[in-house]
Amino acid sequence: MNYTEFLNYIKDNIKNWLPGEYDNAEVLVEQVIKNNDTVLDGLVIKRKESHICPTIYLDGYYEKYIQGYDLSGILQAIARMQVESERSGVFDLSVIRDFEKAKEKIVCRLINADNNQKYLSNKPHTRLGELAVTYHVQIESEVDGVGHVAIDHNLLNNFGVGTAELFEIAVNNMERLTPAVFMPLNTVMERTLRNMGANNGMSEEEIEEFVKEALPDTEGKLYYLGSEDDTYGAIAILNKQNLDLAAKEIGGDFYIFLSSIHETLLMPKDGKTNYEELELMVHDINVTQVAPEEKLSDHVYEYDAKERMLLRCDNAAERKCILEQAEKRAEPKKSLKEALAEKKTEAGLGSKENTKTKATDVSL
Amino acid sequence: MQKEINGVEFEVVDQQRRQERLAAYGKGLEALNSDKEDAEEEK
Repeated sequence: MNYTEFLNYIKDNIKNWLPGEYDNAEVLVEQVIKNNDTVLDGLVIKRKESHICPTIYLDGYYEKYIQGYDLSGILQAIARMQVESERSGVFDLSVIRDFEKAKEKIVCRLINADNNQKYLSNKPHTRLGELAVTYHVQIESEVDGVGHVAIDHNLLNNFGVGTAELFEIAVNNMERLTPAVFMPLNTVMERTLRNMGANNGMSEEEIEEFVKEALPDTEGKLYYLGSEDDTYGAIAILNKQNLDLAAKEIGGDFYIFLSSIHETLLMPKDGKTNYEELELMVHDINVTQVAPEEKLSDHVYEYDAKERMLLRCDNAAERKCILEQAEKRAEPKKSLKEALAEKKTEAGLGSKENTKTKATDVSL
Repeated sequence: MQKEINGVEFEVVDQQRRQERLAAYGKGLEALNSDKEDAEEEK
């Protein structure tokens, strides 16, 4: 069964697995644009009697079908999710109708601007080089945990504020609502492997063996910067305190890999590896290991601990190159600073002085 | 992404996929360093 046939099969048969109250429900498959302009197919089952309408994305279920899961099990799982979501999906949405309440719950995410032209077309966002910051309101559900409503232009109009204010609010909320986690990558991976082993019913001995085999040696070489709940943690690089803390722990400047929208990885600069080699590695990993909807960037970034500046390495190299050129060629009437500012303007980059007015010094 | 209810997105992280992604960086750096060591030895 190909993907289209799978969608039609689910749509045509899901009612057989739902309780009688769904007999007159309308079943639709709607396409929804998500991160990196990925189009997901969502199953929507509408009942006149219910104001709660879950969207269940079917793409992941098709992956399970390809992996060999049987169709009846998949239909059963989808039906269970539909019923549970309707029964449990009671949460207070009034927060998004009142800006004074909403501003306490506004968070931000970091995504790739170039790969999100459709997704961003109806959303206020703050562009930082190839990246964009988007804004979301946290909604708490007793059953499903923390969810988010994306802020689009309509919602922003209702709030009556501008994007600059959203940025300031979201950055100020970061520590309280989405606290960052910084630790050696080894520690993070070992914890995850142990949990995976335990969830798969492995014995202690089996878990030890599993961890030993699957854990690459990254001690002192790679650090993890993400969020407490493992989601949308890449935004943590916009909080300079996180980067300063990392610089202190690492002992100086470091490279930053934007490994996904959920986390970044930091690598101490050893003076032996250049960013071009690292970009090739990042590109390869993005192609082979990262889900399209989770990809963030093929570029490598760096943090200059002394200057407290976050830079994209190819831009940083250009800056150094400009400095060298400026020193060699600067006209007598132009100062080095003026020559640099001129070059930056040509390249469409903000000057360091301009970015200082923002919550973070970002020159990407 | 697992589901959405009335416009509220609920994200569930696929831990296996995350683990594979993170491990790829560890292995990628190992390979990069190993290549460098080989090149130095050849010199």
